[in-house]
Amino acid sequence: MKIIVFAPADDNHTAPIKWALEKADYRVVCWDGLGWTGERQSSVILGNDDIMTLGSHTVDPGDVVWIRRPEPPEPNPKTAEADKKFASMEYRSFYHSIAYLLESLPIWCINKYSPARRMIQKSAQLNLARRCGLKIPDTLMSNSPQKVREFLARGGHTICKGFTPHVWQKDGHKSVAITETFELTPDKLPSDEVLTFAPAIYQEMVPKVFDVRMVLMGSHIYSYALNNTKKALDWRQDCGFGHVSVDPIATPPEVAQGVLAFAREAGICFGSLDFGVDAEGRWWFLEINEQGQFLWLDQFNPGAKMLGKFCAFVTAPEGATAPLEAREDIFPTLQEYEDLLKREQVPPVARAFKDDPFLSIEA
Amino acid sequence: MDQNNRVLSRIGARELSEQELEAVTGSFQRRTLTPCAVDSNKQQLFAGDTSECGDV
Repeated sequence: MKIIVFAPADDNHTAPIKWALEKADYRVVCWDGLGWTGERQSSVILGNDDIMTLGSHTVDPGDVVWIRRPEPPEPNPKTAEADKKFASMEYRSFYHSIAYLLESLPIWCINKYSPARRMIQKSAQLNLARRCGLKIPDTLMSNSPQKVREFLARGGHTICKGFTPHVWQKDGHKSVAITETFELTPDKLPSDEVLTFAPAIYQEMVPKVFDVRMVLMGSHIYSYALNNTKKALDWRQDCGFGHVSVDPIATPPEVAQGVLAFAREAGICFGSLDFGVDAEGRWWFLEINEQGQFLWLDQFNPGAKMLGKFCAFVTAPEGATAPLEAREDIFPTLQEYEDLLKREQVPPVARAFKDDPFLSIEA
Repeated sequence: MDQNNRVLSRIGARELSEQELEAVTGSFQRRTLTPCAVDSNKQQLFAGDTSECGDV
């Protein structure tokens, strides 16, 4: 059995996890994603036995494929200008053929591609969460000015957020503006036309006292309370500044039941979920990122041992229910990895985007 | 630049100064693992929770 990671080896979660798995004598290979260069090439042979190769590696029965964060398909830049659009579409189609075929091979995918693609959709997430018994805020997704105004006119506090994150960099400067959740009041609504420039998510503001980041690994749920000293609506940037504390918190049984039902219905086995918890102790489902960040929990609270738990998870049989805590200590910790990183005894971690889709330059 | 034709998410975006960015990526490497860090050198979302947005 080997673990195949769809991500560059220097991805900031892939690197320490690959290192920790290898320290425990597991075999790990990384595949950056489909591209024209040798190690990014792929072949699929469909016959009596389906054979898939990824670079120099064959996908074998019993393998674990972690679809972490592959690079976008990359056609050969020497392709004739007149053929580039076609080649790009072919590369994308072939990548999808690879990713969807994985689901039919005798391997374990974390996560399977079909449910992963469905569950990255915010509407599908919220709808399924509600059907699984989780509490969700009233939500409008719209580019209709009339609907937006009607939603805000219902009263109460409303937040606005995008479907995707984005960074705007001022031309010639290092300062940036970054999307985050913000409160929207009727008097702050821009003109109708502005509301058509980009669809957005408008949502009842959860009267949260604190946030929770939950990590789902199979049937295991790990929840951490995030207390933000800045009390900002959106904790993520403040987390980067170290203004957030991370403490384990028990998951209420009805929430755990809802999350496991959600995972079962969605067909996913792994993900990072965000909740807001109000003064009455009610957990409000906000979103799930099926490949969200989770190792930072170890940085803020080494006792979380997310690195060890994840390694234990991907090296256990698919569907195993034995506590991950029983095996987490056979893997080294993130702190050990970061000590080596500081001493430059492991390669630097840096994921370089070639064409960052999340960055715009503004005047 | 015409500021009246910006998208609502840009109007509500959080401004981060160069100093604030440096505080995240320059002196305290650990924070680059968090869900929404911005790399001050590359000027990009640094491996945050962005995969859900891509089409890969």
